[in-house]
Parts: sequence; structure tokens; C-alpha cells
Amino acid sequence: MARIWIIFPLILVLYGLLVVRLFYWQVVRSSDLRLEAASQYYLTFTLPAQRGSILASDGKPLVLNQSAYLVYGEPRKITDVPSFAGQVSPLLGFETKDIQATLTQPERVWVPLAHKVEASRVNELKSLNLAGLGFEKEPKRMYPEGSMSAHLVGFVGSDENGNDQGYFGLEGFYNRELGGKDGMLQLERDVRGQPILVGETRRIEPEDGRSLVLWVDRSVQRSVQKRLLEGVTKYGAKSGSVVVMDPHTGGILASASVPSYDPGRFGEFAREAYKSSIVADSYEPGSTFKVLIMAMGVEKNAVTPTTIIDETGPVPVGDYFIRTWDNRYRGQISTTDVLVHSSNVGMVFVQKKLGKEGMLDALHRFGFGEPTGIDLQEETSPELRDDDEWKEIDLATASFGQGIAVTPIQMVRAVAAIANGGKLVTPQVVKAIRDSAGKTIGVTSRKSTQVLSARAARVTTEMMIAAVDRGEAKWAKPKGYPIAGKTGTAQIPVAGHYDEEKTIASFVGFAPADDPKFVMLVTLREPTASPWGSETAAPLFFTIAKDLFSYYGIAPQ
Amino acid sequence: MKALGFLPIVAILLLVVEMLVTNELAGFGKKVAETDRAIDALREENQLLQEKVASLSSLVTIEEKARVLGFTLTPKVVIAGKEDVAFQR
Repeated sequence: MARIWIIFPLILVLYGLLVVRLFYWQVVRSSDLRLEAASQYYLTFTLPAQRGSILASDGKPLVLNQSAYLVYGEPRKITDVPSFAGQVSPLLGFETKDIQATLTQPERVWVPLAHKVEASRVNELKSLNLAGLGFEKEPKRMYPEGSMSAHLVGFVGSDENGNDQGYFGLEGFYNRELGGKDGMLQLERDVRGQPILVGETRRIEPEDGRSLVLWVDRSVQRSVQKRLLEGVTKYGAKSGSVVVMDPHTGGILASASVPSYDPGRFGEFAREAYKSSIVADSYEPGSTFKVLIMAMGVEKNAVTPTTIIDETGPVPVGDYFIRTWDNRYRGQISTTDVLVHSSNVGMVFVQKKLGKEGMLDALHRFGFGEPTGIDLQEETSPELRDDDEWKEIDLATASFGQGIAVTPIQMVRAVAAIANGGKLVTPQVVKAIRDSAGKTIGVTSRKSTQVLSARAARVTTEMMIAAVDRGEAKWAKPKGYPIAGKTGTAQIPVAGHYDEEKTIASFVGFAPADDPKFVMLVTLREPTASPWGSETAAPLFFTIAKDLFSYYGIAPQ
Repeated sequence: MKALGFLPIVAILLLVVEMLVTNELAGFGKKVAETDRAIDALREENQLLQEKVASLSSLVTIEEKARVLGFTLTPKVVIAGKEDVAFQR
């Protein structure tokens, strides 16, 4: 009996330990073990989503996917590493010793050798029939038009997890739409690893990325890119940009910046090259800004095209004197002549007629100080002073486009309001979005705001036509075409003062003036051939305009 | 009653048939995998052809081919005015 009472508790304790252990494995660790078991009898594949394409207005691709592969090695299956490395490295473009070092890393059963290798190269690798060499689909982006519109489209790099991620431009802004959503396929497998048809299957279909159809016209873009490059070279400029927009819809027909980069080889270029200067860089617009202040002066009935101004000499503003650009003073001139001769003195007169309230209203109405909302990732906007921080001299200099910073897209959008009867539109690169089945989803057109009356827009247009026909750039103007525009030559601020020699030369305009097909801004930074907009940016504008007249079949009047 | 005697035989036969069919289907996984591979290969070929079409229809390629064929860029456009026509009503 005593022996039973000794053994019985022992049995109870052992039994208790068994129950605890079973509880541990069946309850506490159950989910881990279930997953481990599932990995043994389930095959799981990621069904990758195809990234969407970016198409020009004619449906031809600016960016599409190209067949490419991740090339990997399985060191345990490679019997002769030096021979393997020697055969593979020339085809991958790497040093043999680097491939060898990768393959001889300790404890590695799988190593990536090269990413996004093109299909033709992969076929050569496959023909080597090497054990331990594997391939996995890893498509890459292809740019049939080369680096044309690089700043518009952006590029695709990797995020911190190694997944494709769009950066800058449209690839960045529309990364989620373009990327789609990967799917998943899970199958039961047999002992040989083959799927069991009657077994359990779970499938989540991938959602391929959507494609973007742009407003961009390939031919216009190519012409603009080519002419800009020629212009930057001819005028010895440090950089330049051109943006062409449909003034009625806000659709961007072309956009080019120099220097540019190749989105297919973005890693070989400096990071500074990635941003489009049209949406990301600010500059002082100079005399091109005069048309906007003049338009507001006409809108508020502060001036008319024939209001007479006394231009007898420099005009005092506080402790400063405002002079004309050429130090010539023409006596009694009309406000139209103020634009024709680009008179800073005349613009101070207009500004004083508008008053502080009118000037600030002009800046706010035309959208300065805020991003335009264009669908490009890197858009920024220089800030405006708070309304109560504007001094008399600030208002005076702003009237002729100095002491105020804008981006090219802000400038061209504002001038488009003069071209289209007074509406401030939202610039847009994407016209429509298509799903993977080809169905057009469309893009909600954003609201435009009436910032000028049709009358003020019409009157200002006539003044701008006079500025082109009788101004400093009249020598370069194509005959027979009504073009409304304005030259600009702005000094560049450096360390609190303006540089004596360096300028930003620009020209903004639209044509044909009576029924504008396009509004365009050309900027050249630090042209060395001549600092003046009338001698550099204006002729470049007119050269591009002639191409556009020919392309659109617009005959002279 | 005699007919009822055949029922077990029929049941056994059907069971055997079911086992054979299921076994056959279970082995179809290999064929499915092969078909999937064939579909992938065709998709790959389509992709390559798409790339080729995109490349050949690019403006860069068209411009080069046009240049080789002797085409020139937009010639100087001359617009005939009213006074230049041979006949005027």
C-alpha cells in the first residue's frame, strides 16, 4: 500500500508534465506549427501585377514594360564556382571575382547575381545550361522615345524593400495607379513538388496597374526638346526650359528642361537633374510679369490701353529710384507703349493706380504663392510675403517682375488666363487613365476659376500683340501670325543683391492670338550670347511657334 | 431480391472507378504546370513583340529611317496670297 502511495503521486506529476507539454505544442505553438506544415504541403506563388504604361496623346507609348529577369545563383548546386563565375560574369557585365565572392558567401543557399537583365542576355545565359543558375521575371521600364520627356515621366527605382517605386514626374505622382496590386496563388503539392489539381487552391488575381494617356503630343514634344537644346547651345545658356500648354484645358502639350537625364539610366546622373525645373525651380519673371499686372489694371478699370503716362525720368519710390531698362525716357506714352517698350517706370504708374489691395489681389487671383496642382510629384511653390509685409518698394518692383519668385508653370498658367477669356485653369499632364482591360476611366477635370473678365482678357491680348509687333523682339516674329507675348530679362539675385551681368531671359506668349492653340513660356538661364530676352528667348519662342504653326496647319492671316 | 445482390458489386465498382479518376486527376498537376509554362512563353513572346513595335514606331526611329530614305525636315512654308494666284474671279 505504501509503495502505491509513493508511485501514484509520481504518475500524477508525470501526467501533469505531459499535459503541460502537450498544451504548449498544441495551443501555444499551434499557429507556428500550422504555418510550418503549410509551407511543406503548400506551394505559394506571388502573381506579380504588371506596371501600367504611359502613353502619349496618340496612344503610342512613352514608357512601357520590357521583359527582364532577376538572375540568381544557388551555390549548393554549383560544383565548380570559378568556372561558373567565368562563364556568367562576361554576360552579366561584372568582374569574375565579384561573382565568385557572391557565390562563396557562407551559409547562402540563394544569391541574387543581377537585377533586370534583358531577355536577349538571359537567353544567352540559358544556353550555357549551368546547374545552379536560375531566373525569375523582373520586368523593367523601356523608353522607346529615349530621354524625351524624361522630366515629365520620371523613373522607376526601388523602395527599401526592393519593390518597384516611381520617383518624380508621373511615375512618382501616379505610383499607386501605375503599380497595381500583386496577386497570390496557393496550391497543395505532392512529394515531388507538383501541384495537386484536386487539392486545396487559393487564388487572388493580380490587379495590373492602370495606364496613363497624356495630353502630351509626341511630335510637339520632340520639336520642343530639339529646339530647346539648339537654343541653349546657340545662346550659351547654363540651362533652359520650355512649356507648351493648351490654354483652354490646361493640358500640357510639351515640357522640356535642359540639362536632362536618361530615365533608363537614372543612376548615372546627378540627383539635381531629376527634378523638372518647370514645376520645381523658381525664378524672378522680370518683364513677362508686366502683362499680368496690366491685365489686372484693365480689369479694375485703373487703366485703359490708351491711358497716358508721363515717362520723364526715374521715379522715386521710398529711398529708391526706379529706372527704365535702357535709361531712355519717352515723355508721354500710353499704357500699351509701356508694354511695347517694357517700361518699368510705366509699370510703377500702373501699380500705384491699382494700389496695394489691387496688386495683392492680382497676385492671389493668378495663383501665385500656391502650387498649381499639376499632376507631377515634385511641384513646389515659392512663398509670397504675408499681405501686411509688403512695403511700397516691394509692390513697385513686383509690378515689373522683380522681388517676386514664381515657377514657370505658375507663370504660363497665369498668362493662359489672358489667352482663354479670363479662366485660371489647372495644368494637367494626364488626360485619361485606362485600366488593364483598355477601358478608359477618365480624369476628373478640375475646376477653373474666372479671374479676369473676358473684356479685360481681350484688351490685354491686344496690348500684348502690340508688344510683339512693335517691341524689341519684332525682328524675330514670323510674318502674318498674330502672336501675343512679352519678353523678359530678369536679373538674378545673388547673396542679397542682383548680379550685374547674369540674367534669366524669357518670353511668354500665345498664338494665334485671336483663337489660341497654345500658350508657351521659354526661359534661358544665364545666356552668354546676349543677356536680353528679346535676343535669345524670344527668337527661340518664335522658332518653336513656327514649327507648331506648320504642325497644326495654321496659315498666316 | 436477386437484383439487390448486385448492389454491393456496383458500389465497389463505382468506388474503384472514383479512386482511379481521383488518382488520375491528382497526377494532372504536372500537365497543368506544363500548360502554365506554355502560356507564360506565349505571353513572353507577345511582350517582346510589343517592345519591338514600340521601338520601331518611335519618332527617333522614324526620323532616322526618313533621313536614310532622303526625307528632309519641314521645308520652308510659302503661303500664296490672293495676288499670287493665276486666276482670280
